[in-house]
Amino acid sequence: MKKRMKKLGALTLAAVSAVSMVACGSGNNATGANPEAGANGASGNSAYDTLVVGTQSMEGVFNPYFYSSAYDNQVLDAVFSSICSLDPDGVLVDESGHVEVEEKDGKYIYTVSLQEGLVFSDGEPVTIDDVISFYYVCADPTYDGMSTIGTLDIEGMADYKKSAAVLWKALATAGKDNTDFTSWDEATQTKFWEEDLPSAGEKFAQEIVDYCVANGYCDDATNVAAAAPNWGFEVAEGATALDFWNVMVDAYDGDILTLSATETAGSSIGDLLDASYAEVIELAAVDTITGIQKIDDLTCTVTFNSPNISADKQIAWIPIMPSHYYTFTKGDLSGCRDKNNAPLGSGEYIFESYDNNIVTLRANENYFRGCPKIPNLKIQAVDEEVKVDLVLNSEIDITDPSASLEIIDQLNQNSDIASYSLVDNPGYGYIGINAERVSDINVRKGLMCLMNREPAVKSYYGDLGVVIERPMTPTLAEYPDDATAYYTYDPAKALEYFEAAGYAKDANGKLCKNGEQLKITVGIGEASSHPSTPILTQMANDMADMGAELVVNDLQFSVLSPMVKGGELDMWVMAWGNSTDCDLTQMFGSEGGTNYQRYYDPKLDAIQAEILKTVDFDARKALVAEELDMIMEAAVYMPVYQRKNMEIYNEVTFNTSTLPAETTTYFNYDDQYQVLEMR
Amino acid sequence: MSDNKELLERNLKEQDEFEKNQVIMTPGQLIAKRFFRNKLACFGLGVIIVMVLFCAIGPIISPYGEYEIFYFDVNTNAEVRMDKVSGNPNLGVLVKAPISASHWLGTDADGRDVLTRLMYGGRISLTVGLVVVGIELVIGILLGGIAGYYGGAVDMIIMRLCEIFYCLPFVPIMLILSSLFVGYGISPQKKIYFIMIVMGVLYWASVARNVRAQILSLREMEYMQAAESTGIKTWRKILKHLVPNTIPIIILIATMDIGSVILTESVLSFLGVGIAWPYASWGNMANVVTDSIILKNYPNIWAPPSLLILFTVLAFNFIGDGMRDAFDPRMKR
Amino acid sequence: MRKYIIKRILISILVLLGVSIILYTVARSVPGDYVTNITAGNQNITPEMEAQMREQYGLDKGLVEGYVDWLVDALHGDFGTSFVYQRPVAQVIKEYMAPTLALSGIALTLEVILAIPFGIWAARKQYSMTDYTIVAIALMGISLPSFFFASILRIVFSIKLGWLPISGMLTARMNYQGFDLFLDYARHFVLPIVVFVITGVGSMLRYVRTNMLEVLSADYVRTARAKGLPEHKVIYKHAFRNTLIPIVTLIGGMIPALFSGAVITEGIFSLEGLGNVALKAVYNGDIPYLMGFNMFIAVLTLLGTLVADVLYAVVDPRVRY
Repeated sequence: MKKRMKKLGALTLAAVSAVSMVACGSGNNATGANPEAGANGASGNSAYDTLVVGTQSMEGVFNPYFYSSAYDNQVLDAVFSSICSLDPDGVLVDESGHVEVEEKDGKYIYTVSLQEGLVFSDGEPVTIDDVISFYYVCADPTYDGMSTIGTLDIEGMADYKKSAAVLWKALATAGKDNTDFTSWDEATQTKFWEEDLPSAGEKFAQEIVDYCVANGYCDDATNVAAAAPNWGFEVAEGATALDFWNVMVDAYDGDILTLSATETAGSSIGDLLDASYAEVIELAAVDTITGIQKIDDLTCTVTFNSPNISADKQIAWIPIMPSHYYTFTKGDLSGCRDKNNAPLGSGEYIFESYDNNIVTLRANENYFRGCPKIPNLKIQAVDEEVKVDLVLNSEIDITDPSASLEIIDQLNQNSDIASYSLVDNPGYGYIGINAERVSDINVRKGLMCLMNREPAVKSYYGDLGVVIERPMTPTLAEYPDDATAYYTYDPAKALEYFEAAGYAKDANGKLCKNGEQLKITVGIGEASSHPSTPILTQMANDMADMGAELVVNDLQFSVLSPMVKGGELDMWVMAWGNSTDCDLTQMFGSEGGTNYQRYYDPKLDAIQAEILKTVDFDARKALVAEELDMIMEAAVYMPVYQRKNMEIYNEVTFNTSTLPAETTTYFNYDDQYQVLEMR
Repeated sequence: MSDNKELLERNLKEQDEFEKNQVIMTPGQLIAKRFFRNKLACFGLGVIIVMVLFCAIGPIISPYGEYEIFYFDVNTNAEVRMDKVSGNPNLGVLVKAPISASHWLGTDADGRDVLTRLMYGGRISLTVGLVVVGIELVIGILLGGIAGYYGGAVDMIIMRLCEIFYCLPFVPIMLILSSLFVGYGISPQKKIYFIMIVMGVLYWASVARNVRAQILSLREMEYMQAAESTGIKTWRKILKHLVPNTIPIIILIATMDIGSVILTESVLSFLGVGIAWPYASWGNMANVVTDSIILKNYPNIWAPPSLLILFTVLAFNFIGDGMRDAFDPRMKR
Repeated sequence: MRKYIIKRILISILVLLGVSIILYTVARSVPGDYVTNITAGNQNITPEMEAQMREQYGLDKGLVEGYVDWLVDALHGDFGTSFVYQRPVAQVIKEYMAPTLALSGIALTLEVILAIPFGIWAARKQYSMTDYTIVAIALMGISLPSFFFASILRIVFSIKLGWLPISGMLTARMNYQGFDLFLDYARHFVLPIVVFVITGVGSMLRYVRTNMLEVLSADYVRTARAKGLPEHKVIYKHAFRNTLIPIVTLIGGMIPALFSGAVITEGIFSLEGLGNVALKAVYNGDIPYLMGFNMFIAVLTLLGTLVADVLYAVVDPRVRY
């Protein structure tokens, strides 16, 4: 179903950070009056007492620790306030607290402080413990939510995270020669290394061999020597599965955990071991993260081992969650988990109920910036296709349809009923190429020269989207605005590249190299009504003319995503969203978790490390431009478009003059609920 | 008196004629006669013939490709075809173009000719209907026949298998399997065939049940007992006596199911797992109705595929109804 | 009779086992799992975090081990916790049951009310204009996909005319109480129910008509006519009563449809019912919910056929077990 797809698509855009920013505000807001003027107006005269915000299908996990849907988070935004938030320019500013950094002996100490006199909506005072508990929950060994705080290089963080683990992982990490038997006895360890691990390892290796047979890479399940090369290992002729395992262990220098995670053909080592090895054991009595220190009731410090240009956002742009309500002990987060349907915070509104697809909220009298003027806020899940009609029929007041030229036409014809705003989406759409599957750079460059982006983006988005030339969202200040097209559409040039790669037309008119036709498989999510669709159509046509083949797979997002991650596609179409800083190591670094193009370049890593340490903006911007050029030269990422986000407001029921004076990518109506008014 | 005589003669004559007719008509002719008495059924037959011609001949006549997109020059507004794009920087894709001499039904949201896609889409939709029904019939008749004829443990096992398939939720399974096809690298062209196979396999249960029931009741008929007593071979019994008598119900199921399969394909397309882009089917063309902007402003995009589905499925239903009435020998009215 | 029912139930358990094996295998063989879905697009998720999450959700287990675990828990009455909703599956089903039951319950009742008289009428006037009209109209409803009717009705009655709400189950702006609340629900359910009826009444009507035609040509009806009984007596006393038997089986078969919901209709009108939730579960790879819900429907399906067979025996004294 289309609607579902869009929703899942939007999950791509789900937050980078643990906190908020769902819909991203408005720039050229038609009314644009000063919110203060509205703030003085008489709220008692409003004919309506309920603001209805239209969003998409929620999952009902209203818990900052565990939510995964951006739409659930929209509710959390109203219920929780954070230490700091973003201002219209995307700069971190104080909200209910303040954060400061100082460098000392190569470490970076962030001091987080809270305002005095804050209370939660249940009347309890807010203290720094409520902030510290957030870090602890996210760092818990059993935490499975989306927050990445546990991965930060905070002093003592790693020790805390590793202080409890399942037994086999602990044994594997401790190593064969471990002599510390506080958490397990010697017999267990000996048995593990001498008997159980080798036998599990043998199964593990056999599974790989079986996988190779099942997929036709080799034809005999007993011939380990033939299967191993498919996995990138060499074993002697006539070797057994156990030998194969030992070769792998040696290749990983005995790092069983990484081996298990990287080489698996289905099961991890833990699956193949006895169930008793899956027990969680306490490894060390580490009950605190040494880098997080409480100073007084309203202040704490967080010490980072290394510089990180987004550390302040990571630790200060978090919701304040009452520790007396979200209770936990190390290793047991059930006291937090069972609050999914009853969030409690210090934000503008108090959560009342969620049923019939509607979240009902009521104004929080204790909100530190004053009680919101609209007594009731309702957030309703609605169908993407009818968002505009719902506003025009006055069923909802504010919503965010995906912008199109026709919607703008329709709204312009009804300007007395609805107004709208457009802001740049902090993300971009791109076409990626897997550098391992398409290893010849000339082929990749040839493909790049076949992407005719302008007509597609122009007719799909009109003024609502622009073609971008570098793989980074232009909403970031570091984006090189003067960048020009790296590869222009030119089939003749593409053919030259293919020929340079060694491809030539054979007798049947096929573009072949070593007897194999040039064939590229590309994946796209929901192709009908996708701006990149015409690009691929044209590409397929041009390639067919050359004697090559482009196989286009139209996939559900939930299928596309694992295929891209698993490196099963030569080329794919996707989008990134909610980028808040210019750190591209995850996407382009050798160690990056989302380096789906599988292009590894030490020079790129070096420049990225340099960028992260460069505090001076102009110098950083220059480095970023250089980095982006390197990525373009590698021909693995073709940026396609950056679109605009739209928000529409009901002029009949809602007082649009109380909207923010300037709504931007980073700041919109839901950042100032307390001053909004109805008509 | 003469009146009476005349009347008597006329009666006799009528009776003769009647008997003559009775004698001449084979059962097939009788069925055909009853079938063609049903005006809706005749209408249905006509519609199907037209549709088949449209889809078979149409693509040969059409000057455009199934998934050819059209561009236009931003400055001159002139239409540019796909192979003439190179080197022109001022192009836009000709999306949602109105009805014109070059595009009789305009172009769709991706800039492709609607009429041409209707022809290709019809081929797919009708093929899907025929193939799926073919598969379900083969499996259903075979298993249903075996179960009905042999009975006992075989019947028990096959009928339980039927129940298992009855309990499998169609939509979730199609959604999951469809993503599996892609996961295992099945190309879009081949995906169509896999979808047809899966649908056929998921649908056989009701055919098997019907065939089994029919065979069960036939086995009890006197003529079967007579055949039994003559001592003929089992396969001859099945082929000569049982199978011909199940044909009416099989034809009936087939006509009815073709329509519903075409509809199911459209629902699958709506859910994003039907016939894969860039190929057209009436189903995936019709599901643009959910886009309220297209629904309001571009009837040339959504109405034609919807009407074709409506007429085709309706036609198959009419034919099915007509057949049932025609086959039923008890229908004397 | 009791022996028969017990035997049927025992056999049904075997069938359910088969269904659950197929379902689990299919559900687990999807290329992407829940963890991949929720972490997609998040640039900061590390492979270690993913592995950890997979372990938490039990997705690191093999197919057979996973199924056995599921089966053991299910036999203890524990269908697990839905990944998406983070609540027990049984509780999720209970929570979202009301809209689906209301929608399909009312719609199916209306279908029966419409199908029976019109089906009989059409059968009595076979090959007449009345017959053609009734059949043609009814069949049109089953000749177009439900998303088509839903979209068309919505654009006419909600968007253009503004008579009915566009989607959802309640008017969010109003805080209705009591009878007004009920009326508000009712207004939101009108269009979905109409769509449900349009797309469902055709096959039922045809079923009634066919059975009626069969009965009308039966010997006892001819006898009744020959006796000179008034036509309405022939129809309602002799003919109709005998069509009740197949109709009862049909209604028995409708029991699962009460709960499985109309995926498309619920989706288009944003009704948060079981159909919608099930679809979401498929897209997200929510295996516990998929298994729990579909097994629930399978149980109902088997129960439906059993009830139909038993009712058959009750209505038709000739049937013996």
